[in-house]
Amino acid sequence: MRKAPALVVVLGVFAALVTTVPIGYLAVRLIQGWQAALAEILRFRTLELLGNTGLLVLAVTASALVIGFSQAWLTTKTNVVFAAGFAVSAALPLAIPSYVMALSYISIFNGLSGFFAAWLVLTLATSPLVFLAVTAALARLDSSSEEVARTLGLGKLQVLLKVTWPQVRTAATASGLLVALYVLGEFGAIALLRYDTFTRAIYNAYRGSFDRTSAAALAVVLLLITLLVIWFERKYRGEYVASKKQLGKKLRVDLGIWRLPAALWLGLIAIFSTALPIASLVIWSIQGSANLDLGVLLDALWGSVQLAGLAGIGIGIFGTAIALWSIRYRSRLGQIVEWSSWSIHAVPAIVVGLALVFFGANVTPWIYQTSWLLLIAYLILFLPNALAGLATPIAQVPVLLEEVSQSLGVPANKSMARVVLPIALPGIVAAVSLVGLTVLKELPATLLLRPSSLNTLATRLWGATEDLAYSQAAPYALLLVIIAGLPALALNLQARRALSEVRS
Amino acid sequence: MAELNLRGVTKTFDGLNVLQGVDLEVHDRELFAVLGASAAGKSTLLRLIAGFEKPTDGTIELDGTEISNSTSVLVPEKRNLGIVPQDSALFPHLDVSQNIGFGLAGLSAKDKSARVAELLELVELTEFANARVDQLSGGQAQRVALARALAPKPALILLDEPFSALDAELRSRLRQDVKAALRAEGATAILVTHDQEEALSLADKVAVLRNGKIVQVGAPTEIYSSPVDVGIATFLGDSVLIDGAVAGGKIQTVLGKLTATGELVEGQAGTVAIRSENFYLQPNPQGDGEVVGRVFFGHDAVVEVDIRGVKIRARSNGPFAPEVGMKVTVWVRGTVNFYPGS
Repeated sequence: MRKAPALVVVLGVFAALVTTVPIGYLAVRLIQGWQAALAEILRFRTLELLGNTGLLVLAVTASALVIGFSQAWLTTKTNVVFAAGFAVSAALPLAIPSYVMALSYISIFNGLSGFFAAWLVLTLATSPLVFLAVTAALARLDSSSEEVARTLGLGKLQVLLKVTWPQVRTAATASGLLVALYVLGEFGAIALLRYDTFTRAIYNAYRGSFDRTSAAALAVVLLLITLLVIWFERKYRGEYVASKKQLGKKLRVDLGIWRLPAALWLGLIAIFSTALPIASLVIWSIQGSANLDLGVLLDALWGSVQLAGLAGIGIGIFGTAIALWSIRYRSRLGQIVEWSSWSIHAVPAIVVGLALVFFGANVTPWIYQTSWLLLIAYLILFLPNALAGLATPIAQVPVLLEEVSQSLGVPANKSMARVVLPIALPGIVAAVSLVGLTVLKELPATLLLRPSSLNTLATRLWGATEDLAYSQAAPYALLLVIIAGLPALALNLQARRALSEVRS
Repeated sequence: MAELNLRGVTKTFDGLNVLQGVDLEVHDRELFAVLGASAAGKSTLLRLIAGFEKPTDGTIELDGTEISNSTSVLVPEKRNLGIVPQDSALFPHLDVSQNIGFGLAGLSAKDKSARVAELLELVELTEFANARVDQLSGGQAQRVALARALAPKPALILLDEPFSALDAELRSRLRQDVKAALRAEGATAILVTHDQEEALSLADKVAVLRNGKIVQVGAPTEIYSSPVDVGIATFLGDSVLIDGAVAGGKIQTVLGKLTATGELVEGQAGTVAIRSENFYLQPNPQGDGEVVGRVFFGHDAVVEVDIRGVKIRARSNGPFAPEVGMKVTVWVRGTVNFYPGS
């Protein structure tokens, strides 16, 4: 009924075009040269990549589910020792970008590579996603159903399998698909550990030849697989049970003689997923500090901070406009804009990067190899994250407040600026900060699109590891964990909630 | 001057008539209450007057200017009216003074703070001038909401069940405070409420809204003593309904011959509505009524009497109310209302 302000419409439509046109362009170009593209795809190599990628996705998803679920159940539902401490350490790997995790492992175990290495590192990097989702679901669970089951004669294990698991299965499945999407799009760790999946093959094909058809064709195959997984995710995500009020004290299972082995299991995971990588980074950083060029480091830090700041503010502005549009002024166009921004979520960064290379080189040469194209890549990649974070604070401002403001003589658009935005501001700032920190860690799109004069912490780290100079790479890795990973984890609402629920 | 006129206002949501041909006339400095049960269309009526909804049919005029019809609606910010919502809806990012001053545009800083101070005094919250709104109690928040609405001197104040979120004792005190504040500002106000006591004690004039239609408009005493139909009679306070017929200018009932207001047609049958406080129960061992129930409220009691198979509920002086099992004679004091046909 209400019309959206012109500024909101302009920003929203622009963002929607920017996010969808490059990928559409990539598809159109491939369809035009479909014979060459098909020839590229119909090779044994493609089948090999498909096998490798599929194997890794399945293996990592399965192991992340087992590890994440065991961490969540043991810390929230049992009397395991140091439950709160183990809960923190279970979420901590989120602060370590997966390529940093890979780097730390290679620098300990020289020559670590192949399927096993990729499986190990990605399992450690993704199990926090399962841990957080399952912890949240377990915390929402009403313990009384478990108590009733015990009175009906079920043992502890039977309660876990027949009562607890069915109630958190949807959350676990959803987080498993999230892990699958993560692995599909992962580039840095896989490339460092030299395991051939689509992302690494796309990057190598792009670097290796002037004809980019091969890279683009592979990118489209990866895109299709990703869409298939997203479709699965949508289909099996299910409805979360509406959060109920906590009913009294939570029931904690007495592990009995398993109390110690369970703690050992959690401790082992903590050692592999956090202690070992961090120790490795710290030791190599100390070794590398002797011949560390501080000027180069500061230059990279400045580059990273600049990009992250600009991207965060830009994405924040576009995201706020779209969120306002879809929440406050329901209109057909607004829904299309929001949907088109969402539809790009989970498209692998390497595909986005490649699509922008194509688009930039052929259609908009004046921004090709400038920071602008890189910022557009960040907009495409992280607008969905921003929308998820921005929607809640804006939706939580009661419409009644706007109506009161209007009745006091303040026009609708001005009421938005004087009432809605100030109230939502803390939430908006948090969402924008989280996006900025995520941009700091981004690797593949930055590698493909950065102007040659621009260096970031991530690209410097990448350059050093390609030369196998781990002691040079380590300080950059450590700095990334400290200035991006840890603050992002601290800002992550889901993680905070999960940790507080374990403690209570 | 503030004169509000609604003519034939109808509002339809998804084919459902929420309001149907509503006519209202609110005069300058009047405190006007719209009384209705929940889902009677009260909130919709306020939203139409405030300009948040467009009428399906009919017009709304303020001071002789048409502000709403079925094709165009003057935007809320140009209507010059203030609203006091049910849950006060204070701006959480502003303090008490800033909330009150929110709508004061085009005033110098000095005039603005003078006006805010004046209102703070009016609602007796001067010491809370710089308090955060989440530190206020429910009653204080509601007074800030009133001051905020009054600040720009609007032509009309709309109060949407402003006391319903408060407890009973606070409610009756705040009611009088609000009435005094509105009088002091010389404001014209419309109050919607489902609480008949609130409407009757606060307003100069009451309109009863039922199923989207205005069924009666009048002064509180008029509405209470002569409800136009049985429905309003039972809605406004306790009424006992018994069958009766007109005989010799009186109503012949199981309780004897009663005096009714209005014109009577000889021989007509209908329903008599008697207020429970109009009964007088005289203890009498030979009486034909028997007390079958008693609920004690302190200052009074409701006594249930069975008289020749008809049950009545009478309000009686608390400590002196007859006990269960006692025989009584039932008298009806004053006149009753007679509704033929029903």
